[in-house]
Amino acid sequence: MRWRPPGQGNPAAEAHDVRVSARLGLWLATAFALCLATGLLSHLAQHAPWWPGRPAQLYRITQGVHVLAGTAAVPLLLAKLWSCWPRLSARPEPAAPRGPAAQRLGRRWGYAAERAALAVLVAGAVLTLTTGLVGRAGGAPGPFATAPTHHAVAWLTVGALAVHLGVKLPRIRDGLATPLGRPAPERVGLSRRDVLGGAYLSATAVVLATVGSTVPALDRVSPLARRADRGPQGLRVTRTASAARVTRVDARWRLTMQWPGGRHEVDLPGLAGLPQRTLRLPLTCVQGWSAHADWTGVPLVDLLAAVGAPVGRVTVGSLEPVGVHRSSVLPVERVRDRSTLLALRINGSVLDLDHGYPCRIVSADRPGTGQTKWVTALRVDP
Amino acid sequence: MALVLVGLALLGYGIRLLAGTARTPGQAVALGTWLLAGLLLPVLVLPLVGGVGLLVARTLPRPLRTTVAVGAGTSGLLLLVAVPGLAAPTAGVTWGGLLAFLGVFWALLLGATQSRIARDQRRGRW
Repeated sequence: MRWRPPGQGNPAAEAHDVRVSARLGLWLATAFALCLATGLLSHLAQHAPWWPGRPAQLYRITQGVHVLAGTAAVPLLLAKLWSCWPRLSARPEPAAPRGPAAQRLGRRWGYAAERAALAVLVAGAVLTLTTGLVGRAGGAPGPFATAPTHHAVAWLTVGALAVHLGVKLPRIRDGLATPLGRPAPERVGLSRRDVLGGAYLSATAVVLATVGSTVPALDRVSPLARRADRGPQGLRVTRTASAARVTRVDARWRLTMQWPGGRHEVDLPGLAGLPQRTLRLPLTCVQGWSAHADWTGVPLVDLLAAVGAPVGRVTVGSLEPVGVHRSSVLPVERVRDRSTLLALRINGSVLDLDHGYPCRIVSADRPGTGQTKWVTALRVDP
Repeated sequence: MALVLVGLALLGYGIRLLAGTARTPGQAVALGTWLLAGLLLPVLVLPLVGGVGLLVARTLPRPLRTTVAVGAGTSGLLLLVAVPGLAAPTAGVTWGGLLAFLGVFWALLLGATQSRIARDQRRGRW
């Protein structure tokens, strides 16, 4: 007798019913859609010059949603795979034996393509969520760059998902349109409602366990949250000075500003002697945590005016010797905005070296990767 | 059909991006291993976990089966989500915090189950 996986053709295995799979798939697709939309926004916030500086909380919200939707997708994906797995090994429905050869061949190739897309979808979804979870904790799942891999494999997954949806849409519609029904007395394992309820409960639990990273008021009930207040001067640090290979900044430090036809240097007392402005702004890391702090510094536009430099796009250089964070670009709109500071103090104290001493960029609604620390050079392109 | 074509275009874009991230043979091997591991999850790991879960559930009284299955599944998921944070010393995730959360979760789950059993008994369902 041929072995048959539980649930395949067994109506008593309610967990593997298409009504369960379709409903889990709908929630999973919703979570993935949220992740894709907010992930794209995060990509734009880091790379597109037109990302708005207002409202100041925008990136904090979109990135928080990104991380929470991705976290919720973990139990939904596993429940969905558990619900579908007997069908993963299912053979194609036999073609009409007397049909034209081309039709039989087409069906066979269609089946192979659908299975290939499904394999990419499963493998891609697992790797996308893994790189997201590990990256959120500041780690790396392998010798490859976590963020670019997360970005690439997300596109792969979304593409495979679209193919899967395109092929399975009639079946999904049927599954969603059919009521769940009452549990059968002779069922094997959990009922359809139990499986769905369990998946939703798990998703809620993991979101609650991590939401404190985004909503600091809830960090007491979120044991998996990255507490934003754990760090020097009461603010978390993602990239420390030692990780950036910035060991010390001595009295010889100067801020060099260059523009076409001009150059100016200023030391730290000179910078501290300029009119300062204090603003309460959120700092949001791409890892999902965010926190407010009182930042004190010189508005960049005021600094340029003080040294006679024109207003334009500013390329910020750091003391970091290597890496993608050693420079960033501030578009002219950001430079004109008086809430873009070259900050010297945090919460009233001189910046800790890990926070970017002697000075760093702080600009509203900008990912942490663009808030360049250990600033040593500004190049203005009018 | 349009959805399939859009999907294929996105797949192609994703493959191009992924190829750009694997710059050395070591990186390519690591990425391939992760993708293969993702495929093995539904083929090997989930049936194994599900089979063990079903066997354990059969040893429990029927009213507790769903509770234990959902509780164990959620606990495993929380542990899975916590692993990267527990492994990173600067993440601030601790075993104490995780265990306290699980304790509250199980207390609420068992409390809700007990209430349901008592309500069903009052209604004479079993």
